[in-house]
Amino acid sequence: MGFMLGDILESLGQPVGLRHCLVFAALLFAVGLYGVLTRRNAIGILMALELMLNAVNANLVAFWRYGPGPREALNGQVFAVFVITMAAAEAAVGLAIILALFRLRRTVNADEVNLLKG
Amino acid sequence: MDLLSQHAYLIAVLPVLAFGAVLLLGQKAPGRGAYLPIAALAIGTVWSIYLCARIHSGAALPQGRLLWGVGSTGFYISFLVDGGGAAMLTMVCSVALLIVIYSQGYMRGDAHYSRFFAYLSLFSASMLGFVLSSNLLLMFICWELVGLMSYLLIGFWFHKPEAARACKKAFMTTRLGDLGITLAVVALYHEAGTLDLRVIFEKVAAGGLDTPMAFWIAMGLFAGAVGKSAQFPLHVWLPDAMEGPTPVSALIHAATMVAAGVFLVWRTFPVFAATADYALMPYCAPFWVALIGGFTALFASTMAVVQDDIKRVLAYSTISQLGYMMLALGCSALFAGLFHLLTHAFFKACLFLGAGSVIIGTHHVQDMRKMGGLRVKMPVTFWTFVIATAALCGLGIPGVVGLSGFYSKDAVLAAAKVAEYPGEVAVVLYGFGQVGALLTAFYMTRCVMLTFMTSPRDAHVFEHASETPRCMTVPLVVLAAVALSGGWAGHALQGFVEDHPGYRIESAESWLAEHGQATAALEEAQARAEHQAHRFVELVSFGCILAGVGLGVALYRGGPERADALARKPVLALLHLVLVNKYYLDHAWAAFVRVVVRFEIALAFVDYWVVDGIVRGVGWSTLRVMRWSWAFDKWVVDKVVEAFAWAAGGLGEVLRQTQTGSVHVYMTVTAGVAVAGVLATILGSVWVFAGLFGVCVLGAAGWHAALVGRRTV
Repeated sequence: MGFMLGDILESLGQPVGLRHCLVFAALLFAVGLYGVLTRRNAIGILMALELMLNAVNANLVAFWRYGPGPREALNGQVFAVFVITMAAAEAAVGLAIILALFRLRRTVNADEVNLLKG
Repeated sequence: MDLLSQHAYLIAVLPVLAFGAVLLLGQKAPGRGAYLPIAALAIGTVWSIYLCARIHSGAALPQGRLLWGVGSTGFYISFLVDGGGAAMLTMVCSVALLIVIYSQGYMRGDAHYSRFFAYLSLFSASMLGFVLSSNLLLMFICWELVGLMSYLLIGFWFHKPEAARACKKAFMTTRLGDLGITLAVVALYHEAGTLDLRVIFEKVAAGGLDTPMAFWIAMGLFAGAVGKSAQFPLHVWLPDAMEGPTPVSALIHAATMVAAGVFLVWRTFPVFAATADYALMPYCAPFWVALIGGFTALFASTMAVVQDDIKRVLAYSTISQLGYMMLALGCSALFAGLFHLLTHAFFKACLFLGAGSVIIGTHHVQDMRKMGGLRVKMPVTFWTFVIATAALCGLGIPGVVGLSGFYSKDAVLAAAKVAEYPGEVAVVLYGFGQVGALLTAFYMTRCVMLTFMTSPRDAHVFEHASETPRCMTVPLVVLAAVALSGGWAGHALQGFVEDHPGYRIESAESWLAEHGQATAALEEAQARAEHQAHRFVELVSFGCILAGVGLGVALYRGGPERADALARKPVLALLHLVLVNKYYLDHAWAAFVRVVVRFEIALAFVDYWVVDGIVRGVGWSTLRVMRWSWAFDKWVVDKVVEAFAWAAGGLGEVLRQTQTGSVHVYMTVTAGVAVAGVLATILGSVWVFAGLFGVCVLGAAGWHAALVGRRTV
């Protein structure tokens, strides 16, 4: 583990490549995850979720750019565009749910909502 | 064939309709139930006479059939009227008609007046159906109907215990014979493949039946006839049947019930003829018929001598006369048997109705000892009774003229005299008949003397005796007229019956031809022998009748005292005792029945303890097994199922805890699992994954517990 981490830190000194992108995406994902897990406000959770999605997008594009696949195929970009579209739809639905929740319970605090408790 | 011949079966159907109508309408029926049966039987009488005329003129024999299928087997219900059948139809219709007319007077004031006529109607109908039928199926149905109706009519006054017993006895005794006829019909169907008499007789004539088989079939049929026609040893029901109303007795004794047995033997005689060879003994069916008939003729007449009840004298007389008919049939003298059946029907009906008239006239006295001198009070009854008595005795001037019984009984005796049987057997058979004739003359004279002649013995009865109404005397006169003159038609009748045989006599003839009897010379010799026998029999009979009548008059001139004194003499007293007790045959039957009942009680015991015991044991053990099975079901099967349910419930209870409903917990677990998956992939270890997963779940649970705890605070 330590070895791996050192290896990564060392490679960051080299010109920008796949690793930089991946580290960036991992950090972004971690930030998003942290936000999702810690935020009590449902809107905050949704925003943190967007961060996580975009971390994935970055990964997709990075792998397209630096990966072994053919550049002409535009796989990564297309995937990213799809994810962005889906994220927009998801945000719309999520915000609508939050709005409905607010109307019902007068709160958007996720901790206070456990309707699905078994 | 013209319409009336084509639908001759309606002769039997009309009284059935009358029966139904009277039964439905009850007291509201015309004549309170009497007129419809009278109309039906009157139409039947005219119709039968018309049929006789048609047949006599040589028209085709009326016949027809209905199909009645059972599965793939077709049963034909067919009818055929031949010469003998037409004569029988005429007799049954006319006698029944007169009896029904007479009943209007006899049954006056009875509570079940209309029902009585309904029954009479169906009784006649079943007998007519029996005569009309040309197959054993319909014959058997009608036969049983006759038995049923006799049961209902003998027990018509069922509130009298004797009547209830008598009808039961009649039914059960004839049933014993019916067992034979049932077996015979089944056996015939098995042997011939059909119940159509014509086909059966063709097969029989062609030698299609083995001798023992044909013999047993014939004996089965004869057993039925023995029961119905009250031959020894099944005659015991007939005297008891006197408990029924007198018109019923008349109908039973003359036209229907007992005639059915004789007619059955007459009808199915080709089956008997197939074994008519004395050399085949004991497989010679006609011999048994002749023996039983001859014996009964004598046997019953001895018992008639000591009876005091006027109806019982006639009952025993009927048994005796039926014996004569059987004797004739057994001697292959078919016409003589039928002829005697026909003439007997008229004079016996006349006698019974006369007895009924006496009973009504004396306000229900039946004991002849209380009567006497009634000729003054009841002249019409007296004269008709005397004529019928003379006819029954067979009175006549040999070679010149006589009453109906004179011709028919002498024909029977002559037949017995010239029968094919070896000398001593023929002599015995003839002797039975001849001694019987002597006794007949004696007991009938006794009956007339005690009832009508002598001086009144019971002043009260005599004072109140009076002649009966016209509806009762007119039938008497008509019957007496036929009894007087019926015999004169004998020759014509013989030609009529034998020229239009339907399907019956040809087979008997073919049997005779086969046995070499048909050559012209032999025939002539036989005719001569018969003629001589006839002359001889006429003379002997005449002597016997004179002796019998003379003895009767001499003994009973001054009332029953002299005879009673005679009956107290040592040897005669013993004989009298035996006769009064009917040869202890009723006792024997009663003992037999007691044995049967004992046996049945034993069987019932076996049934109760063995058969029922097995059934109960099976039930009990099944119950036991079922209890165990139930316990197993409850404590093992159910428990296993419950355990599964309980386990599932418990597991659900545990797993339910993971369903927190908290988004954070879900996310944490998801993230934790993802991280654990990544690490496990990197480190290549499932255990790491499992460990981290566990940590995640526990952590999530703890967190959740913390959340819940906080909320409650």
